[in-house]
Amino acid sequence: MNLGLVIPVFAGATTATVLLGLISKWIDRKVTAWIQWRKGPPWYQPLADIIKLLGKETIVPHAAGGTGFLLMPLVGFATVSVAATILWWSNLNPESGFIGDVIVVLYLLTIPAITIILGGSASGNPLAAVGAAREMKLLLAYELPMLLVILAAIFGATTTDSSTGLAASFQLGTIKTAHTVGFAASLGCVIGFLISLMCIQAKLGLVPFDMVEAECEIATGPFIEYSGAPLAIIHLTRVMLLAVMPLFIITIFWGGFSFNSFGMILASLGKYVLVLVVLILVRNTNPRIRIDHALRFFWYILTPLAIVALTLSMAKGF
Amino acid sequence: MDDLQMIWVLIVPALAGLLTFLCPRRAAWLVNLITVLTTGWLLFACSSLLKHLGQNWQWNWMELAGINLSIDLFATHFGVIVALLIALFGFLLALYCVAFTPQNQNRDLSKHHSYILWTLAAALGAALTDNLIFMLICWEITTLMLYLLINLGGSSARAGAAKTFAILGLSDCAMLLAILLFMFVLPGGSASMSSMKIAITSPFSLQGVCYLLLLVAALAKAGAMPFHTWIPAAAEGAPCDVMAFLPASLDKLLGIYLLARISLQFFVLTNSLKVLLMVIGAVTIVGAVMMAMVQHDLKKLLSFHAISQVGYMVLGIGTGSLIGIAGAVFHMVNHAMYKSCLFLVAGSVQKQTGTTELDKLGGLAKVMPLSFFACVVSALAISGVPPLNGFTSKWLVYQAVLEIPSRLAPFLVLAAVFGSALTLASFIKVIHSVFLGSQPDSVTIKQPSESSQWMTTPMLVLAAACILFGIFPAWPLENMVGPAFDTMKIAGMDQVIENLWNPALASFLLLVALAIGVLIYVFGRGFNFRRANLYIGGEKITPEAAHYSGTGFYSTVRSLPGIKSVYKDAERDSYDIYHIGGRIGGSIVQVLRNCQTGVLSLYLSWLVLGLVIILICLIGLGQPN
Repeated sequence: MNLGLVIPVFAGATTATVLLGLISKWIDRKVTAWIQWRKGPPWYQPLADIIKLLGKETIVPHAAGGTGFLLMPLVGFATVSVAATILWWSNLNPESGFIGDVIVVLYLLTIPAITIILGGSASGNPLAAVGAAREMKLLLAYELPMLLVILAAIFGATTTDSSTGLAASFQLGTIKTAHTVGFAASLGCVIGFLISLMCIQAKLGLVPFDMVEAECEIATGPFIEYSGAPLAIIHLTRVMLLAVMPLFIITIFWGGFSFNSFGMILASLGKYVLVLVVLILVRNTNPRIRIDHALRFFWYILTPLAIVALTLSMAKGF
Repeated sequence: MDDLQMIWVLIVPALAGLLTFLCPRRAAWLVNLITVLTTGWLLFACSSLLKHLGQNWQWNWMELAGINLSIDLFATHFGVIVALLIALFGFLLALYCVAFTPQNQNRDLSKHHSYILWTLAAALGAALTDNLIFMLICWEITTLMLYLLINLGGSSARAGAAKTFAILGLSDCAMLLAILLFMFVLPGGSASMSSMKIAITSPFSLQGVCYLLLLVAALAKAGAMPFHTWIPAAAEGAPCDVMAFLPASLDKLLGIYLLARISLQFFVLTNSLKVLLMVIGAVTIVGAVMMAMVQHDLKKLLSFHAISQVGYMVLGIGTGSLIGIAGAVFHMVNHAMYKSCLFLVAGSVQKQTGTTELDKLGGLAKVMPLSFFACVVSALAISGVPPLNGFTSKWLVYQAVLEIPSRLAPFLVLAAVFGSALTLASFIKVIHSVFLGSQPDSVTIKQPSESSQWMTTPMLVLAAACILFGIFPAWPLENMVGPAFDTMKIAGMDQVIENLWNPALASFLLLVALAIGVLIYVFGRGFNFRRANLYIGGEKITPEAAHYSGTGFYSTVRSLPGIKSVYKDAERDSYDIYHIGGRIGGSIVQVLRNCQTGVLSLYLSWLVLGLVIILICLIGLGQPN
């Protein structure tokens, strides 16, 4: 890919992600408000919050080094933008991806969590350290079933080619195309999709998996010392993640987005809104659980289920 | 090296080692000077060897009962690359040691440096020789030197040193047996490495046994499970620089070099052996990293990672596919870089604060920014975070494993990918406990500062190499991994490079996005910050209470049902081959001891029984057939 093409794609993907994320955030707040019998904010509220934060003073604790503390939110933002670019690009143009881009995206999407942990522990605040430890454990918790179901999708998309024999596809575009053809036929992928919904619920830090922030217990944990512009960037990153994570699992399990015709666009939006609403409903109807409960839930309940999903999709693949 | 014979590469460090050994105790500067000059020259000599590939040097010493004892050096491309890396690490370590005197101060300095130089000579010999017997001798010398070097750590290091020597020594015996089988039993076998090509029909055939014996030697040296327990034992007492030099880099290079050559060149493996290798790799990755997560001591934690990472290399070689081998060899190079960097960081922390206990450390990032930087880069690299070097090599391994036609494939990939997540988790703990968080009293009293430039330079060089190899992986793949392919006569390296992901582009985009972020900061006056005290929920708490060490980060994981009992067993050394071996030996001794009752009539009846057996044998043999 030449540079002249990369920069517009990158800019477009990042802007699209930010916009989609802001709207999703608004939907989240609006639906939450409805459930709680409130009116809810106007559509521009998430953006207004971020802009207002930019006008506020930035405070760095004495105990923090400064560089790492301020740099970490930026790194998180940067990695989400790159992950979003790869995702959008392989959705718009399935043949253009590279081998193994699934792994690249998966890894890039763990970096925001790492930056939250490092930024939080750079602040020197013990509450932030508690939150950081929980974030890391939560990452381990959801990563295991998430990996298993992604492998299920990879093997579900495996085509038995007569010339090369087996070709496990490692590429977002191929997986996406494979599922457009026969998603419903593969029970493994359906189970995988449901499991991955739970995983991104945790990845986005939504209730019941918000023990990392736990406002009323550890006062937003890793974010406790952040203010002003760094906090604005953190909010921006989380808004982008709210758009990227549903897009990621839709790409892997549900044929992804396409913009070839009006019907396709509607279908893509429909899928996205459905995933989003499920996330919002789960978040509004559950209490926060403890981190050890989360670990048990992901490792002892979802992981065996994910292995079942993997076995099912392999049985089809082989 | 036109006018220079290859043998000088071995002779010079050996002689220099002798020289430093004889240096007077007071002349520490002379010892350092000799070491730095020698290793610098070695680096130069090894790089000039690159231009003279295929060069050989032979000296037949004697012929003994059919064994031809000869020093037979042969500059294969793979061997020279390994030698170059060995020399590079030797040089960086020599620089580091100028400021990092071993724990017992100057008294052991000359010993320490001469052991290091002799290790270098032996390791170079092992990498450059074509003769299996000479390789074994060099191999054994590095083991011996490692034992002596660990012992320099003082009385706390003795047990670890003994364990190391026991495990490595036994595995060297396995290698000796294999070599004897090679030379006398196997048809077409010889001591020459380049001419070897043997097909294994089944793992239980003679060829299979021969391979397995060599495999034991290679795996024990590299520290893969189940022969891994010497590394954490050694880490308990050994100085950090020794850990960085031998178990982290040199032993890995040699072990994986041998593993690659025996698995890909000497033998043609059966599928069951490949699966065996891959399973060993996957188990090593997850098992060792789970142990690493719950360690309280920095050195010990790092040593478990030195085991875990071998798993990726074994896994890659086990796939037997082009991409897998490329990934494995590349991971060997990468691992040596970031793991020795991490051990050097540990040494620098130890020198400044006097401890490697995670509980007693914290908040060092402010006073040791360079060490912190090196630590973060290499920690992210070892966890396989893109766009650093560890990611590319692991990614090649994942890809290779996904493509194997076996139902095990997804589970092996899972072990490898999830192993990386666990690695990341344990390094988050390290970074939090050592460099971030708040400083506990034990640190503030000592008032640490950044280590001297002699120590930070090698760390920064290695960290920079991690970044560069990550962003431009095509260069090391072509120039370091490609030669391995040439030597082992595997074609297709270009294909691997062609299908590589494009980390340069991704890094460029990351930088662009970072710049956008910086712009937002400027716009929001993020850089004109005000300093304030910590906000801890409105409470006023003492600095001691505010210190939250990372050692308890994963106690939740540890106390999960199922995992708990495994940890308990592991900590009681139930899975330690050294202890299992010890127990078996102990029970045999117990049987013999039970025979020694001291009752005369019992001894007499044993005697009679023995005589009867001899008699029966004699009669049986005396019969004409």
